[in-house]
Amino acid sequence: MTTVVEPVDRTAIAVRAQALGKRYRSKWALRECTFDLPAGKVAALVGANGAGKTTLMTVLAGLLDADEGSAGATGRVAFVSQEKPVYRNFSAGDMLRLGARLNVVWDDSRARRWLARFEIPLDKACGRLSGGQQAQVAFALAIGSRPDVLMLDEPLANLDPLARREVTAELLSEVGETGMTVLLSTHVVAELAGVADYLLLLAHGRLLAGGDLDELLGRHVSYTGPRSDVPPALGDIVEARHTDNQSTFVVKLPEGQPRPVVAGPWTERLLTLEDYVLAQLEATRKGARA
Amino acid sequence: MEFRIDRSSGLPAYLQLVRQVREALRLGWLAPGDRLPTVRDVVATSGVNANTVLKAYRELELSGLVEARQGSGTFIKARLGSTDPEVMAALRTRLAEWVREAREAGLDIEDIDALVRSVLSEGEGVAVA
Amino acid sequence: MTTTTTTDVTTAAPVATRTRVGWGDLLWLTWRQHRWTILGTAVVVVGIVAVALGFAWHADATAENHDRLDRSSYVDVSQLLALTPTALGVVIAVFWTAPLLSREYEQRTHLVVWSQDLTSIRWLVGKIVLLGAITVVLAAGLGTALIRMMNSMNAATTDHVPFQPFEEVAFEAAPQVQVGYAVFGFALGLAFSAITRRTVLSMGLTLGGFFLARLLVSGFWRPYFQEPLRKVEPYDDSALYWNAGNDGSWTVNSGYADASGNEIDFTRVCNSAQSNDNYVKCIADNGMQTFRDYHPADRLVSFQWFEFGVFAVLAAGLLALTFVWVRRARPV
Repeated sequence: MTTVVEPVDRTAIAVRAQALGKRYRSKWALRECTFDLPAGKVAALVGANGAGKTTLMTVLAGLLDADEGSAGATGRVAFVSQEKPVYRNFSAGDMLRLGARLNVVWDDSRARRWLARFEIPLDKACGRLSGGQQAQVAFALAIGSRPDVLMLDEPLANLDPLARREVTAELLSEVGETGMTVLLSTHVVAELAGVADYLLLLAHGRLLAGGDLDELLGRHVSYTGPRSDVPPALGDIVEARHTDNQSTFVVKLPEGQPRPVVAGPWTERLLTLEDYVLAQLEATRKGARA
Repeated sequence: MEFRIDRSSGLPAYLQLVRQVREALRLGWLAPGDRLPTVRDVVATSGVNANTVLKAYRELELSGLVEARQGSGTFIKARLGSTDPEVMAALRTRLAEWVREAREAGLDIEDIDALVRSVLSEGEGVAVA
Repeated sequence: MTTTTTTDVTTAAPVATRTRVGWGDLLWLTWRQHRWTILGTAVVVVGIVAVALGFAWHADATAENHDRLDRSSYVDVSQLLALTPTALGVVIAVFWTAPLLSREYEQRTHLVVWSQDLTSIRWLVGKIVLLGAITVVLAAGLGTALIRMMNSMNAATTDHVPFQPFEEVAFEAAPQVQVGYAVFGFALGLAFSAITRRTVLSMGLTLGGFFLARLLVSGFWRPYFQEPLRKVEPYDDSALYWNAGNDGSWTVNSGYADASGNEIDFTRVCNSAQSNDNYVKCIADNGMQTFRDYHPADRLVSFQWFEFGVFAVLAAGLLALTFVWVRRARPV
């Protein structure tokens, strides 16, 4: 039973971006973005507001042409934008009919199950549903179209805490059952642990880091110890903070080597996703200032 | 059993799942022959990515604790290797001796605790539980 | 735990699969979104067509023995009806297409519909073809019915022609001209809608733009679609005053000319003439004649087609602009 949810092909690429750039007038919203997202992943696109997340997603979803480079997704893409828009004078049932009419693949039972799960009435005009309910209609439409790649821009924004959990669980169930690839953007990093297994970190339109989440986190360590100019282990210093008598380093360990054992007064701590993202963003801010 | 993910922990989610299974074994909540929840159930109840659960189950399978039976699920195969009582006794004696030395050196309980934690934390993430 | 759907979802679940989104689907979407607008306009147009045809039938049937008063009230109502073609193009422009894209942008639904399995261009083509076809049918139908009514009214009236063919009301009611205005309004509204992305602004600009274009073409260009013919006649004020000409021609300019036909100012040398006869003779002695620039009646249809052509070309340009704009504009 556990074997059926294995992704079909672990080596396949679901989304590919090569030297992607998008400009609004003279300002680059996205620059030199290159990554391959393997199929079957749940990837989190993380970055501060205005980092270019929405731009990247709309380009990848084929709604916007890039000015530079190329982007592509394997198979059919469904995109749910941040506002989770629906036609206000359509009922939820009409929205599903729209999905059935405008998609070459349509799984009506799946879409209806989603609406039933969140108790959305089918015959009421969407304009008279709450914002959260409208979001569920938008999700149901995307799920029903059985995409190979599902792109969600800030899917959990405007949902109450309970709904956030339920939507996450339902979404991950759908992912497990269909083997689709998910790319979801968020600026709330804390909720991603266990949800995402791939990270794309954007800052100022550029990709800071990308890769398997466990691998990325496993290669980074935080060391705290007495005031020092160098960390106790070899590697790239991502972040260094000093007080009068204490130093904290976030170090990216060299690839392919066992974790070094640090001796003496240093304590070693594993990074949470949030620590990692903050350290990376902090580093670019310092880099930009220097 | 139901899994929980501590989102503020630096421990990767799949290792948290592994640790929770081992803990349940240690505490006797799970015994050989018991079936672990399906990946589908874990995903639905805990909001964890299916890949994460698979990775955890694979890890458990590699360590010989569980086995996947085609078509019926994942089952607990072995008890957590309980240590030889003699070895345990020897370790305890040496630790007691070490604690006495530490006290003589002026360390209080808090100091000792900090020291033990820092030593233990060095291995964290590599050797689990 | 049962093993219901996990085994093989693709065969277990009833998933509908096909190769492409068809015209029927676009038709459904268009109808579902615009049905009340379409129905509202269609009901009014069909009502007007029915009344106009009723009038035509009645005028045909009672042409011989109408009584004068009854007929003049008829003419009043029919003249009112004859104004409706002016409104059709602008209704289509302001209420059909001016909100068409902007409302999608405002409510962000363009992101929904364009991220299904059809491109923005195909969606737009679908909307234009389906709504455009209805627009053409409504405009042609309205024009045909009103021209039919005007012809019957003209035939039933013996002492004058209530609807002069070159006069704006009759000229512009012709089906091909109506279609020209309607498709132009359609394209104008759509272009403003795509460019402004604001419904109210788009509706306002469309309203202004439509009337401005109509005014410029009808007031300044139409008289010179073709070089008018010039007729030079000896000065004869009785002819000037009485012979208004019911021959269906269209006078676009008139004035005074010298013996060789060049346009001149009215001469004042004869102001001292005492009698009318002397005055006319004096004018003739001074070599002054009158001229009239006009389009003969047989130019009517070619003028109407030219007017259609002008607006059709404008519409095509605006549609092309809309496509380019929608294709390259940022959707977010």
